[in-house]
Amino acid sequence: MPDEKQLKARIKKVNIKKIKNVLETLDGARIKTWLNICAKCGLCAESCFFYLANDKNPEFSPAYKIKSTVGEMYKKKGDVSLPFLEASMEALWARCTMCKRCSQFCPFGIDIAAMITIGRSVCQSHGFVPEFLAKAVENYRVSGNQMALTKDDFIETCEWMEEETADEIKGLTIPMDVPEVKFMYTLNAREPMYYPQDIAQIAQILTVAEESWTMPSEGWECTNLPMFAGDRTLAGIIVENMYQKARDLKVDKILVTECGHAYRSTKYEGPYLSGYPDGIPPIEIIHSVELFCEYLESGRIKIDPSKKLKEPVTYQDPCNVSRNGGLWDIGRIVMGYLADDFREMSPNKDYNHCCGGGGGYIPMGPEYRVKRMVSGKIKAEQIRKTGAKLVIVPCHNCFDQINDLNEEYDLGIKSVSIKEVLCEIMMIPDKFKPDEE
Amino acid sequence: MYDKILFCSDLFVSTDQAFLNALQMANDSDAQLLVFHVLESGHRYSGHVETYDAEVVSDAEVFDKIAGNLKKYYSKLISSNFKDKIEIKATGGVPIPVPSTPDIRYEVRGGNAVIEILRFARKEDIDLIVMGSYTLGVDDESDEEPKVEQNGDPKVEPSLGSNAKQILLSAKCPVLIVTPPGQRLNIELDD
Ligand code: SF4
Ligand code: SF4
Repeated sequence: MPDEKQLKARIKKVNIKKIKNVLETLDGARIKTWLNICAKCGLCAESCFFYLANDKNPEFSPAYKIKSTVGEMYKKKGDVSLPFLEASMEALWARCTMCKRCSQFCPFGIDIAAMITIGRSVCQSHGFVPEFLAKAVENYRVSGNQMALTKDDFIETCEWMEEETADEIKGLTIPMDVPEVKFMYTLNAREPMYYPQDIAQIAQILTVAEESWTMPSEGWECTNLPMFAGDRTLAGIIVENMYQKARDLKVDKILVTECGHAYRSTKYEGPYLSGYPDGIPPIEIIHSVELFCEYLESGRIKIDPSKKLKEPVTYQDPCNVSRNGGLWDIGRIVMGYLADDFREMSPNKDYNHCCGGGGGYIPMGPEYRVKRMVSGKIKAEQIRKTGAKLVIVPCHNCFDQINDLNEEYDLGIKSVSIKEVLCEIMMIPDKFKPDEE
Repeated sequence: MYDKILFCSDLFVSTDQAFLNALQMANDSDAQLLVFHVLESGHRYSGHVETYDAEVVSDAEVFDKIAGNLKKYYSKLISSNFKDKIEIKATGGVPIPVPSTPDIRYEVRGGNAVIEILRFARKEDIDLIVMGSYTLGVDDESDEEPKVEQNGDPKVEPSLGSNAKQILLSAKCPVLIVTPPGQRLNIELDD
């Protein structure tokens, strides 16, 4: 149930003009064309894990989800009812993770996810956003990050992790706000809040690789849930905070943590959201997977052959790293260095299925958990079939979902990030080894 | 000996003994006692705490209210346990009054218990952490639910055992684990 504050945020009366405005400004012409050319052929249905996991219920097919929501909004030129908007929330948020797999199968290349985005913006304009997601978005508004962490909290966490790790890697520091370095590292607010060891791990890797980098004291948040909550204005502000900090520090590149939607936001959608009409980010964006691959290939990071993973390993392609980020082969190269027994899921790479936690689904909280577990069945089956014991997951979102699926479907696996594996099995050059006591 | 002692309250009555020990040590060392409680979040996607029953407790107001309740609870515990001892204490033969209102601060945070306790201990420069012990005996892998009452309610978070172990093994300062009389195990030695 939405709380009082949220109900208040809901507009009492439909503002047709406002809806029309959203529909027209957000790529209206292209959307109308798509809606017109959709042949209702159903080729997209089998591509969608929601459809497959929900007994092929036609209401879960991509074309239906669009027709029944955004299609109606256009058809009625914005003259829809509040109950319609409320009902649309279900299809737009609980039945699609905007993974874009369906577009690969549509003969016309119709971008279902782009239409879902517009539907979400219309709902958001009237205060219809799943409650927990709306709350997380509120955090961004007040603090610039998902967890409402203060600048002091963040800096202290980095100092803490620097102290913790100094015993393991001699000379390790977490440089703060150092200008004119190669990389500004950006991360997911879950890291300082729930997984500070992730910060320690990246610092270990970057230290051993002798990288030129800095942690920014502000603009470090690379996630962007407002983007999935239909709040394009706030989404733009969040990305611009990061770009601006990178410009202030005069860094060469922004390095994004192992997070899928952060990469999508920072590299692909962010520029549009924050007003760069050519869609090109003002600073080059690199995902951690790319950098790790470069380190392994160049030998800046070497794996201890005796520690290379022996147990069966599979790789989760986060939609926004692989299919929508183009890094599926890079992920395979990294796996070659880390694991002796690597097993592909089927399908895989750019055709891999979404884990079921993307598009803002996990932050939608407990209210949607049961549905999230039902639609995650496809991913659970994919993982089980590989026989893997370890799932390497370069995305925070997939990480949570796969952990939940592990419990729900009794998969008997462990999920880990690439960082974690690297820290376990990389060789530490003598100069970084702590002095013997 | 100590300047700041951190007592981790998990809201289980079984940790009362640990609290009393922490208080005694704080008095002995003339140290400040910090009573700290972490509201565990089952949801790691916002700074809002979502408890396992999906109740959302997110703002400072709620944390303050819980801190107030902790204060009420432990003040009562102090007055019923230290009635005679707390007022006068003999040190080197000279009677010294022990403050009847000991220096205690109550703090509540949301998040992951291990992370928040360690983070807080570092921030406050804590030199001793005191926790209840049963948490050590709870095996996460075992299906058996420990019989501990949570304010009269026999619900138990099975993850607490690993939390205590983690803190014991990760804290930079000494950690004291206290077992209340009713929960002590019989001595069983392997052959
Ligand atoms: S974008 Fe993904 S989740 Fe959404 S309809 Fe298409 S395949 Fe299904
Ligand atoms: S595959 Fe394309 S054309 Fe066919 S129903 Fe799906 S969206 Fe429409």
